[in-house]
Amino acid sequence: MSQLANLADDLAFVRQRVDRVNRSVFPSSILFLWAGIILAGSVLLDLAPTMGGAFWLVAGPVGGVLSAVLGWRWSVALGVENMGLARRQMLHWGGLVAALLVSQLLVMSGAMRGDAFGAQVMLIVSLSYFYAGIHMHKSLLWLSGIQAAAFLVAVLVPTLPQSISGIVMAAGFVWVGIAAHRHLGNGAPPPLRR
Amino acid sequence: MTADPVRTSQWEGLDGLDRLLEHRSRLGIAVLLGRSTRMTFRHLKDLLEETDGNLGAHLKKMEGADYLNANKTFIDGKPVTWYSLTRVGQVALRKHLDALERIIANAAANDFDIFSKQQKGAHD
Repeated sequence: MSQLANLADDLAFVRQRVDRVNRSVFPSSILFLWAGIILAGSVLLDLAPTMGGAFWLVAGPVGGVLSAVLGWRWSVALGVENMGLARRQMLHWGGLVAALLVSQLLVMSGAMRGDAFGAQVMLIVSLSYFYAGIHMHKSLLWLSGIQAAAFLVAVLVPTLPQSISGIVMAAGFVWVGIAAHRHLGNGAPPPLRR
Repeated sequence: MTADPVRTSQWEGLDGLDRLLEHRSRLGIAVLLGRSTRMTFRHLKDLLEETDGNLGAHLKKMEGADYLNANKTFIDGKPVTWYSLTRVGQVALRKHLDALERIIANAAANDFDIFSKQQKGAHD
């Protein structure tokens, strides 16, 4: 049986190594970038709604492009290029942008009330992070929970709801970003689970 | 002399194994590269916890068999070697994994617990 036992050992060895790749975390620089964008955009929505709308129109796509660049640079610095994962990321976050555009069109066409748009956006974004957490990076699951909490804050708090929910979300992004940075340390993969 | 039918069936698939990928470090390299587009020497070394010498020797063997491509680039002025699986390497890995699957299926059919490495009921 020794040959079969050796095969079992070899498979366990490979599985442990692959498991380390699966447990690698999301680049914290992207999370810090979005913490800043969300904080600024949310406060603007309460204090200067017109400027807030324009801000999101520009900051959303710019943030998306910057995220792609930061993610690619982080990946190259780590020493891995994965075009398959990059394609999945593009499709996933591109789908989020498409859903947001459709929501905007629904408001413009009168099919959806304008005051429901903010809640709709938060719901779509939260769901996007939830699916990204399930299918790509587990650490993003935390963010979907935090966004759901921020969604409740926006609904329940009467004064400055967007600002307060933005602060909750930005704090969540910073918290997950710091945790990701600590987890990754010097860029080495996570320890083996034996 | 006749072969033990149970024992023979357990080894079915062994002949489909790729000799080069029978070493677990080389199998690890192929699987890790098969899951990405390319990886650096350093990242492979970190993931596999191999020494520079051992990993270099494994990579050289695989490169010699045309399983891997190596490309040298510079990141922040430092030379970096990237490795990717060639088409030949991808096919070899697929065949090797298929053979492993057959062995595991045969082992399961013969009630052999591959993870506890014992024949179930051996102590009954």
